[in-house]
Amino acid sequence: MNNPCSGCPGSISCLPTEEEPTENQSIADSYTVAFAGQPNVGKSTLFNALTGVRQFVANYPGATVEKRSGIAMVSGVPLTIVDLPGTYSLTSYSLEEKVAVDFLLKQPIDLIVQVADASNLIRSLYLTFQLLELERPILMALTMTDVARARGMEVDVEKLSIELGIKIIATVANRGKGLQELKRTMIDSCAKPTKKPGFSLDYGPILEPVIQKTTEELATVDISPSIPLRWMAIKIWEDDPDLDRFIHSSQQKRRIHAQR
Amino acid sequence: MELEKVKPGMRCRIVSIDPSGMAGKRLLDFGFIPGAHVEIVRNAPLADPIEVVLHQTLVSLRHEEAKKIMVEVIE
Amino acid sequence: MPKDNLSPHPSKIVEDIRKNSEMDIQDSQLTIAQARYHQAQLIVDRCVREIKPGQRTITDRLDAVLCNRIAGPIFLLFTLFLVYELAIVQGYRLSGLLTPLMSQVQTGFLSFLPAEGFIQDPVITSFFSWVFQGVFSVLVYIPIFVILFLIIAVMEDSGYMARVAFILDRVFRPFGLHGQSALPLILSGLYIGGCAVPGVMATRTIKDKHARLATILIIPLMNCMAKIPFFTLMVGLFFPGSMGLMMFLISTITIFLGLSISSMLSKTILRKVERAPFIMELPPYHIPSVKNVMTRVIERTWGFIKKVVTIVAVVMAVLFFLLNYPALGTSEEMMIDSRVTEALNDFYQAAGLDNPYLLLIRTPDQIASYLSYVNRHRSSIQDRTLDFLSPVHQDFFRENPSFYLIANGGTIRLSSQNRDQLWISIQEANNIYQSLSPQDQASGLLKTMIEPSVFYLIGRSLVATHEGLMDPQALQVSQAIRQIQTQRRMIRYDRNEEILMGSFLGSVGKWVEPITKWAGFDWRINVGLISAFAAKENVVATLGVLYRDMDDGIDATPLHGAAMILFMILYPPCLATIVTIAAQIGWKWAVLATVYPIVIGFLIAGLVFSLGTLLGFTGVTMFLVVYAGIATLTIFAAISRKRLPKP
Repeated sequence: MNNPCSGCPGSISCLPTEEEPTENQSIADSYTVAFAGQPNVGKSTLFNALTGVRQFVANYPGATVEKRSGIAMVSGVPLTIVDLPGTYSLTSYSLEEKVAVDFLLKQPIDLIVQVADASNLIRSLYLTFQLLELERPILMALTMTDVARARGMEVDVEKLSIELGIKIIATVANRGKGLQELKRTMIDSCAKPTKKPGFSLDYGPILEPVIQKTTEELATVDISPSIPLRWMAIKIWEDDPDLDRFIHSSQQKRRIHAQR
Repeated sequence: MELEKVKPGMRCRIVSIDPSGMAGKRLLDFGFIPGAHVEIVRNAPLADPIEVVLHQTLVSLRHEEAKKIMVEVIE
Repeated sequence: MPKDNLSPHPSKIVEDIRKNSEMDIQDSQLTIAQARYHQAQLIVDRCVREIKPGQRTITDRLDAVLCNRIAGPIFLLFTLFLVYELAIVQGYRLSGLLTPLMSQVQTGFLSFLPAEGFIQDPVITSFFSWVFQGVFSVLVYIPIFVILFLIIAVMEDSGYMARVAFILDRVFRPFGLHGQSALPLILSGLYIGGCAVPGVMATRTIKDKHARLATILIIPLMNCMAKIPFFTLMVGLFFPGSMGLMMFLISTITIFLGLSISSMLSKTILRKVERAPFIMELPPYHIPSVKNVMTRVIERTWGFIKKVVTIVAVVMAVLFFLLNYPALGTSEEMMIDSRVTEALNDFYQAAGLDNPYLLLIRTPDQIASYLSYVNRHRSSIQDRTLDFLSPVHQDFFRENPSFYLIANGGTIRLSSQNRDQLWISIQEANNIYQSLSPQDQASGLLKTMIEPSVFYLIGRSLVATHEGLMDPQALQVSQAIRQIQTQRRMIRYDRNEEILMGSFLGSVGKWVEPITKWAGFDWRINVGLISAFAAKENVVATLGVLYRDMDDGIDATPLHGAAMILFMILYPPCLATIVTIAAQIGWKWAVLATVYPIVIGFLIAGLVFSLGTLLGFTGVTMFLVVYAGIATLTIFAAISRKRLPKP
């Protein structure tokens, strides 16, 4: 329990040494966290608050969208945070969405953090459901709680957490509230990844059977293993224009039969 | 009637929407779905685009995009 | 990839699934969106409590003014003007403060290189000096950027940027542009002089790819600030009677050019690039976070510096090669040498063949060394408030006493009291010297016994004047030097001219002359224009070229002037811009952005010159014809927007 790094403001050159056994779980050398969220929710502010000057900006390969990543030191462990471009949804209609989805599905990520706007929860939840369908470890950072309050809205964070089945941390980024808690929760979630969250959105009695069938059909197609079939099925029915990139051009295992 | 014909200050409820094309998809993302309540705030100084409130968000869209949304006026 | 039935093409799989189901894809899209929002509403109803319903927020109150029918556009115009004023005008002023500093750095660096020669400079020196020039002319933009990035970041963060797009969209959309195109175009010089480099950088805020490309592609057409001196000169030269009119036409033609060309590009080259829907959130206003803003500003400025500087340095290096090689042949160099010998002989005559100073300032290298001495100390020589006893003058004197005397017209400036004192000291020192034994005289013992300034004045034939002490022989040399300086300049100029003529680029200039002469451009103008590309300073060099032509008796008519002005309006501004464009959207687009204005510019200039000559119209008339033509095109473009690709 005696962590010599507690109280240290953090330094990029400081990494945990072998002599520091940490608790009874094995903490890896570093973790990767992806920050997702809609535009204008304060994602960048939160990102900046956590990573400070330890940021890098590059371009995603083959795109002019900026890739912003930084390092936050939490209890001596460096957390690589990637600030994905703000997206309203996860269908590949725009370059930002494509880049975000590619990153979330193809890169090894330990945790997704959705930054959501408390004063505008309905729209953020639209994205939350899609992120949940990615079946990756995820938690939510709820920002602008002060703005919500000023507008006369009070969010019951615990209740929301139960409804969605994920951990939620309330923050006010520019005042530094909730940052420590967020950091701790992030590292805990990375170190002890839970089974994928139980929440699953029911798309209604007409569409659900179709999604089911499509999921089964997809099981015979050679798709990258990291891609959840149900997610793919839903995207097919959302008319996502660029799903080809997830399908390998090698042989499929069985023919897809016509249903009619 | 079409959303684009509603006057500023009026509130309405969406009856149907044409989800085709990229514009349609964007509209769905923002929540322009049947049953949603929309309030028209204003037209831009040059008449186009229009500004509405939807799910507590201020959204602006062009008249040609608003044509895809059919609404009925509430008050 | 095998095409048998067992492994259909990937896109067919998804297509098949969609086709083989009874579900209509539009229905499913709608259902999915509805299900999500429905569920979201349920959750929100359960977890969010409204304490005080129906709040009118600050955002609403601000928007009531800022998006107002009347106040909105006024405030917007004010903002655009403010951005321009702060970023370009003040930024330029700050750049002006930076320039002397950078000159000092440049001089400092150059001092490590071999010194300038009399006629020829060592290749290393001219190479590095040339490359530095280019790089510095780019670095000079930094204050402009920092201010610009700051303002943009504040506008974005506060939420006002969305309102700008909201208000202006209607104006720009028919031409394939976007509400947010306003700022970049104004910065690049839409209605007055601007700078294309920050303009291109400002396009980063435009998310719609089509509009972004269109905006960047028409930026080269805007009024680059560096072109303005050229325009004022041309107008003063060729259209002295209609200065006001011409300047107005020149400034405003860019608006029509930009809009009409953007419209054309939209329908042709950009046709395939899809346009994003306009549906956009107007975020609530909030006070920008200092951290966010500063992070972005630093990031963007640094990114620019790294990318642009390296590329500019490389291109300048290449240009150096193209402008200076193949070098002069031996016979040409020999001709130059004989001119130099002639100039030197004149110099010796003028100075007086027995002038002792000639021992120190005889060879071309020595003369060059003297000239560089003068250059370094120019400001203190010109400062009349300083006299011989001031520390700065003392330093210069000790560095090279003879050079000092020549540079100051042979005079040591002193008050009469100090003069007399010094005179006495010199006499005394002379006496001491005479009194020493021959060995001591030779050993330099005297130097240790008297003051250095006195020591260096012994043995000169000094005369007392009302200014101080004067050495007439130094004065004579000083006058002779002025003469050879002029000759040096001329020989250098001619030599550079010859190098240019024989260089690769010069050959190119001559090669395209048969074509460009339709626009009234001869090979010299061609080369001038090509190198004006690298650094805007070279636009002035082009002027120098033009002047020489006129001295040689080639008449340039107002028609020439009109053709040149129109060409210049369309001429892409500078290397830094091209590099910035490449950094933003890639080299292919950057090349297009460079080439098409030149082509169009050339066509228009050619039209004006050839047609004008044929029909006997004046320069002003042809200009008006072009102006009217482009304005009409713009109006057509605005009306026929039906043919624009829809999102």
